[in-house]
Amino acid sequence: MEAVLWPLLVYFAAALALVSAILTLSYLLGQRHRDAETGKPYESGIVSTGSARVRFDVKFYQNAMFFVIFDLEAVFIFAWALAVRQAGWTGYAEIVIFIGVLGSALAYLWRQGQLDWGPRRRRRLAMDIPKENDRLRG
Amino acid sequence: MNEFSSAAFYPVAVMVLAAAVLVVSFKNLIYSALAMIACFAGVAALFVLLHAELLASAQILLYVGAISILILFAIMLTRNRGGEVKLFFHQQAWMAIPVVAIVGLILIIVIGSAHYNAADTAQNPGTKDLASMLFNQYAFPFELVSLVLLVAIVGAILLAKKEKIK
Repeated sequence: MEAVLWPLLVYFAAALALVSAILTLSYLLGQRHRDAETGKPYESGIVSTGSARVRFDVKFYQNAMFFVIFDLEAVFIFAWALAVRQAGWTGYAEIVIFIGVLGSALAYLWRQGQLDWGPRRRRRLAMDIPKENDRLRG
Repeated sequence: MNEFSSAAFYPVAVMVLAAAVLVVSFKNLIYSALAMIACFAGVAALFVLLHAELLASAQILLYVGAISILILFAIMLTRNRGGEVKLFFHQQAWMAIPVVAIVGLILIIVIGSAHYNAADTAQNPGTKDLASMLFNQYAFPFELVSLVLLVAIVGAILLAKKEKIK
């Protein structure tokens, strides 16, 4: 049984070694600044305005929930992939039904507009930003 | 459990317990969530040691991958503006001691009195056997799962929908 587990151990050790090497090297070789701009959030050159403590859209959470659900589906498909020969054609039919039901779920949430983060909405939000900034500046 | 598994069990178990303690002791909620991810990963390692590879992969995909994201998003969405987030159980340590003692006692009694067949892990169904069982013996529950997931999606959509003002 050791033969089965040792590649995992090697993989763990390699991942650990890689991460610690990267961290140590950047600690040893990296530059250290303590300027006024150092602690500021990096916004690709744009001066950040306002607070980061804004209210996020609940859609983020909804998408996370959809991710959990489809991830669970992936686990079952993974199980099927492992036993594809033993399961045979009946297993194939089962997984087709399974994916079909979840495909209809995907179609449903697509039709419900849960997948679009529409341009209309985004434009409105972009328009709100100067107003919001004025409000924050007081 | 063979020698390797039992030798590897203790460091992993210590890691899981340490991560679990960190979850409830960190003041910062984000740190707690990250410690919980470590805890989930440790449990996955325990599954691997028990040769339950399918469970281990499900644990990684679902708990380490998905549930932790859900929790991090929940923290992100519910944080109040500025100010420290205090965990409510930080004030309940005095209550936790008797609760933990009682639960621990029950667990010790139950586990101690249970009769396990001295089954070797090698006799456990392998991943392939488990998977083929899922598709032959348990085909109907398996298909039901897809319906349950469908209901979950509909529920998720309904929950986040804005209520119509009548």
